[in-house]
Amino acid sequence: MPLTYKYSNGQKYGEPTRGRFSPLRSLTRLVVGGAILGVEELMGRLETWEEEIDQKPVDTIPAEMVVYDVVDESVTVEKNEFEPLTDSTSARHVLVGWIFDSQSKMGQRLAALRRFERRASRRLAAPLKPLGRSRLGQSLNTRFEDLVRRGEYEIARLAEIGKVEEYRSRKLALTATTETVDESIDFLTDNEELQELITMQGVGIAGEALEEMRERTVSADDFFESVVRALLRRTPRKQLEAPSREVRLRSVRIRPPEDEQ
Amino acid sequence: MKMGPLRGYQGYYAGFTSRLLAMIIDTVILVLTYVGLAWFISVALRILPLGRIFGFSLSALLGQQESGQVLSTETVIAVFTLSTIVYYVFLWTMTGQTLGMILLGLRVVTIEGRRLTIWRAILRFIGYMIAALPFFLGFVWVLVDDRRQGWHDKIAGTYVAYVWAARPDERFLVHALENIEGERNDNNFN
Repeated sequence: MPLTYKYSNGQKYGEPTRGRFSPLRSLTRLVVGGAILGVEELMGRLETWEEEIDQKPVDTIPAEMVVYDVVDESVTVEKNEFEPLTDSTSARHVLVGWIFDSQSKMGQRLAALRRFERRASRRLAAPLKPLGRSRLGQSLNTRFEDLVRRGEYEIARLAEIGKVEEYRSRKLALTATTETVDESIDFLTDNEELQELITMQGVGIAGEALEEMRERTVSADDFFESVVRALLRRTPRKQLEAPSREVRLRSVRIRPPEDEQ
Repeated sequence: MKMGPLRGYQGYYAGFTSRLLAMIIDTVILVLTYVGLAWFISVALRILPLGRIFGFSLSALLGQQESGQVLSTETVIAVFTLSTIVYYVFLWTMTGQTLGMILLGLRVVTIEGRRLTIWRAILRFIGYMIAALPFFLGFVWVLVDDRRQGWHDKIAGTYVAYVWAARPDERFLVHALENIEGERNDNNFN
């Protein structure tokens, strides 16, 4: 059952758009859906990779390196503990360290800011109470409440649209991906030139291997023969005896059997 | 069909290793085919109620009772020998090449360079058996014969030729000779 949402002007939202196709809207859905699916997939992969790294033996990290948690501020660095920065590798380490350190510090500062905000509102609530009860205060309060209500409605409306659109965007992106992949596979399997190329490649490799094997057996023919001749104290063969040119030519061609001649 | 000039050892007498390898390949192909076929026939005869379908049992027709082994050992040997003869004789007559020979680029021809007749092919197969009797001496004869002919070739008046532009792998030969030289030096030193 399709999700529906009614705008304030009565227009239904999220209905099947057959007959009134909007390229811009579809494109936006494709982009949004692709981004959502992509981010989800990326998050899943990241989590898996992190788990895989954790499960690997610790010997991937050099023993002399200090392993520390960037969030933990208790780590103290002794003076003159590290070598002075001399090369580009050290500079890169500094940059990478700064990125991770800033990230963790930012998180800590935001947490501190939230704590401060809660503490301040608790402290200011009592002194500001009489101001809120005054006529001016009540009037301002009513207008503020109106503003909040309108904001909440707008937020709820956007959330509803988002819910419907996310659903449709995901479906669109999924369909687009699946069909594109299927079509790509179909194209690759139907493409005769590509198939020929793959076959030629395979045949080429097989042909080279076969030729090498044949060359080696021809060498081995001569080699073993010379060994056996040496063992039997026969004179070594200077040149391989050959049939007449006519016979050789005939033998490499496919000729009808002799009685058919 | 016009043909270009002969290249390398094309049309020359093929040596022992090439021929041995071709024979091994043929043997592997035949054995695998026989094993597969024997399995298939055994399963088919056990599963298919041919007696009920055709009014007679194929097992009984082949001289076997309903129970136990489906095909007798004699039947198996007879079928396999016959099919081996057919394999070699048919391919020698048709193209002068078995599957192993195709891979190694060899062909069996008469000493005049012509394709074998069916009788000559049968004679060559009989020659195979004669060559194999004294501990395969007839096959090893290829190593010492000037025309690289085995006894079966002598009997049937045939020879095996390289049909590809055969050339030895010089690096392989040098490597093999170096090894022998090294071993000889080691022995002298010791």
